[in-house]
Amino acid sequence: MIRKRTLISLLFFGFLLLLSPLVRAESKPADNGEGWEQVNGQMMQPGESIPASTLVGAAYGFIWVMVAGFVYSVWRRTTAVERDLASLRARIAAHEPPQSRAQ
Amino acid sequence: MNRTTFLLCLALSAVGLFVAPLLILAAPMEPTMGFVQRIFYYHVPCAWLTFLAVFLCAAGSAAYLFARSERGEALAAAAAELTVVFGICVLVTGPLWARKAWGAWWVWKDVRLMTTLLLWFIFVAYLFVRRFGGPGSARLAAGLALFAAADVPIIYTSVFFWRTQHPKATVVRTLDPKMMPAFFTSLAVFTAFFVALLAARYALERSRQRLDATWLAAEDAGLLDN
Repeated sequence: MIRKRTLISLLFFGFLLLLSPLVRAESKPADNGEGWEQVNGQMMQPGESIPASTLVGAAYGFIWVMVAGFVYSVWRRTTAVERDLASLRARIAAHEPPQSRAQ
Repeated sequence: MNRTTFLLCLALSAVGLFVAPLLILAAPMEPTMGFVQRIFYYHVPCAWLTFLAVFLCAAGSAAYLFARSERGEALAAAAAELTVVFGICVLVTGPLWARKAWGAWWVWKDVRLMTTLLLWFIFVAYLFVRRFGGPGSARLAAGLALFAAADVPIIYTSVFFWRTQHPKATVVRTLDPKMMPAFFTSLAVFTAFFVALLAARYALERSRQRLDATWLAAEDAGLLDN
């Protein structure tokens, strides 16, 4: 149990660490006196190296990977709970009541 | 939800998995942003489902807190996990679009982006509280969910009250009519899949509640003392 908790915590903090490079990736706002620039068509990057199709595919793929992972997780947990429930019911059914043991 | 509805939702989403991408690819090219705008067709449904999941979680939590409803607790637990799943999809697909449209993956001063990230973290905290909080954690998590739900109106209205990089919430209403079939098909597919996932996760939580109740009853009756 402790190992599982540790693993979950490590995964969570690993994700936080992965977020940190995004801080560097933030573009510097235009110097228009307020440090703010509204999005417009000219802000598109003409020399952008990542093809749009890769970004669109990555976004779609990410969603389905997440959803598939969730489905797998629910399926595994459901199987485990049903197994535990069946085992518990069998244990109850097989158990003699304390009164009959005393006799 | 009964088994037929669950299977219907699953079948709809399976069909949609193949149909929606074809419609998205066939939709007209947006002149300013080009091909990358197509992320919109699933970024927006994911955002809508995140909000729906938050409200379902809050409703279930309220039912549990004020009426001790076990079904409410199960609904809240199921919806909270879906909030985290669809929330991370929103938080990842958005930056993939923004990289092309804004030239930045993320804008830390943007209220819409930051409040959405905050909502996601609150629901991660919700799951941690439920998982590791010990006795009484379900009530604590339910209270957390109610406060988290207050973030949703802030996220939605942020684009009207603050100057944000994020497009306005009116973008769907002003969409080119030729883009509508792809958008609404995608929305319907994702919603059907969401309902199926919610039903499956809800059923799991109800089974877990039955297991706990059976265990306690058996222990009280002295049937597990060997």
